[in-house]
Amino acid sequence: MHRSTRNTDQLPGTNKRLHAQMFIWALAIGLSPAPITKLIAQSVDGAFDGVEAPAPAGDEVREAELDDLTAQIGAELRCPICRQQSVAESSSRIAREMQGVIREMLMDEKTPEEIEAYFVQSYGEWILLRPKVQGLNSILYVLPFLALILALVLIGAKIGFGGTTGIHESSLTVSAPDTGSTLSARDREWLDKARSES
Amino acid sequence: MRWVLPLAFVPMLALLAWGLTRDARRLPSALEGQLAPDFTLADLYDPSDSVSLHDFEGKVVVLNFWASWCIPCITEHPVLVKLHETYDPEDVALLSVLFQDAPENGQAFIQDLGGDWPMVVDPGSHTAIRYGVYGVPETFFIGADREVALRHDLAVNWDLVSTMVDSLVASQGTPKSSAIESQD
Repeated sequence: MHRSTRNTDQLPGTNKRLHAQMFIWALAIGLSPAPITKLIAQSVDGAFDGVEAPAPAGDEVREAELDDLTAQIGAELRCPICRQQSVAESSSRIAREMQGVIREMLMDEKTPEEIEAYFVQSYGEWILLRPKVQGLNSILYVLPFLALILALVLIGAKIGFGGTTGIHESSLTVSAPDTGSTLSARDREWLDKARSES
Repeated sequence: MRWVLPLAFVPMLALLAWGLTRDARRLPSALEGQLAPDFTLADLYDPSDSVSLHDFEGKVVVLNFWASWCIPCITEHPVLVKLHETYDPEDVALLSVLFQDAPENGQAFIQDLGGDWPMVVDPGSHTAIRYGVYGVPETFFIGADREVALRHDLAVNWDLVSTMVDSLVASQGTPKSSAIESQD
């Protein structure tokens, strides 16, 4: 500890210059664009020996894009084994193999629509987690709205848009009580008394 | 308005009845009635050798997907052996595709249970996926016109196999292309 302090004291300018140079280099490397950083790393790794060319950054981006697209298309397809899961979610072997097929087709410049059509050709529309809005499938999309409309109509009718419902007559109206033969003599007497008092 | 509510239940009950009368285990096959997709796969015993569907042009093809780990495949294997022994190879071809299994396991399976018809491997299950295979065993009955007549999941039995093959052999004389031309 003591020796170290003494050494620093002996060469203060040298250390400061060294630190400054290291800081500048670190800053330059840190702020430089990825290719330059990579260039330095590659030269250290000996990648310029011509033995094995590393993947350029563009390929990595492409790989990430492929992964994303594969996941997106896989999310639209049903796993044939775990039927409540999508191909993207399922860890079954067939689902992973289907992801492999999707990826290969993407690499062959096939569009997501073409890939979906390929799986529909093989498995039928069953393989789509979201059935297309066409033909009989339309019922799936229209029926809930029809049911909602029907329910609104029925509720509307029930709460008395027409003014002649059971609720209105039997429980809400007190203006014209039935004082006919259903009341006993005692009840009628009590009712008359109440009316006269009010 | 009294009839509206009961009437609304009619389509729902009809849909429910239709759903309940269906066999949930019976999976739909989009390939029935379609042309069987062609493929070329490596031989189970010799990877340098390959077998294609078009090698069997003009024949009825029974295409069977199987695996050594699949118990129903053991059950149906004697039926396939009988099929291979019963029908003339000039008329009917049996082709087995190993599904999600190592070739060595498939070879050991065949060594135990017998069978000397063409067998191929399907790495990555590309062909199985193209055929819409869900699991094994699955068997496709393909006519001489290359049209898929039936896809059967679970183990096949002799009644099914003989009925299907007999009917496909009987209709062998009217290939699909000429049938379409004659309709035109």
